[in-house]
Amino acid sequence: MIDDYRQRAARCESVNAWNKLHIDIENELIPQDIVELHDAARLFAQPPLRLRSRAWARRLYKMYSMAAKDIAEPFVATRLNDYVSAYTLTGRDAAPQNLLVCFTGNGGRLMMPVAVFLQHLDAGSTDVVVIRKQRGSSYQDGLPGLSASLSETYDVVSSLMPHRGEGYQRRFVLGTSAGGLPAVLAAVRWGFDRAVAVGAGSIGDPRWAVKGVAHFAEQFADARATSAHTTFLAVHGDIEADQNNAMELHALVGGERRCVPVPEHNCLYPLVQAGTLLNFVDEVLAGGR
Amino acid sequence: MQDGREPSNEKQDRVRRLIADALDYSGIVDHSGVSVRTKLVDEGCPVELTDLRIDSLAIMEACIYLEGNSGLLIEPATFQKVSSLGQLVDLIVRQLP
Repeated sequence: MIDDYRQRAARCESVNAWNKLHIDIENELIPQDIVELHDAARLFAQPPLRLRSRAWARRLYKMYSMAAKDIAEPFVATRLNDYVSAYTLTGRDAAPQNLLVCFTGNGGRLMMPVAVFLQHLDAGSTDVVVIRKQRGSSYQDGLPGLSASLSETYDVVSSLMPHRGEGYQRRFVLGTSAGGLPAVLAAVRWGFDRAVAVGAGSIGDPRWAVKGVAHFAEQFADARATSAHTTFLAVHGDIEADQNNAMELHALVGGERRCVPVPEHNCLYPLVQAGTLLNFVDEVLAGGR
Repeated sequence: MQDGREPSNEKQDRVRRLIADALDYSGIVDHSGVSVRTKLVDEGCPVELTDLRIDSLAIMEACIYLEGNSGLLIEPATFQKVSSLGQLVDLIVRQLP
């Protein structure tokens, strides 16, 4: 990991190239990598590694540390294809207690680097699947090479889940930003227990009617008929557009709505900074019982 | 204009399209979640940054796209010097040969 980082860093010739490197790598990390990067970066003596890498690794480690755990959560990443990764413990035969499937926003993140989010979970009790859409496209377009529509994406992801999604006591879907509405629909399509949409888009977004596919509300109603037990939580920052979107969603699907009192779309990141993301995760995983 | 030249409409249009591509790539949309391509490119509106759902990561990705797809070296800090996409277009056009 460290050697790979050094090699890629050596090719960076602009601020944008450095940013791209760090964004790309953040999407590849597991919690233990953050610790190793942080330790290694402290020894980088020559510029520009000394400046750029140290600052980046310090920032990542600070976010990681806000989970206040003595060790890194021992998730191991399995890249199932270009867009879907699983994070589990190795060598576990039976499904653990929880399965959490996540639809990321545009940057392939969950309003924070995925590894930071994972550090706030319990690897012993939770398997995680993370879905990243192609940059600049929407989930409704499907995942290039894998699926031609969101509906097909649901089928593909379902077939890739650890233990084929069976044997878990509780199954959840979390979606942030552009992943919010796809998460809600996924939960009812898969018959999961709970969907949490954070900073979701508008249910009136016309992209839900592309290619002759029904609007979100129609698709939701169809799926809901066979999955009445799924519960919902809509979370939003304290900004008007996201609040309106969450209120519309809440009016359609029911469940709970919660405002994080920060004036930001990326309303989970302030929870990391405040050291309260653990509480949020516990609430998400405990909710809807 | 900084160097006394009037940037051509063609340059303006090209840069507007390029910025629209970068915004779509980086997921920068208006507060309703809609692309601002029509406003920026077709209608030539200035589009205030405060009207956009924009964050530091999205700005980084937009700059990465611009450099990777056009060779334009726009750093994230540039976004702090402008209040609208129209101003950003003007700034980039002035840098073009």
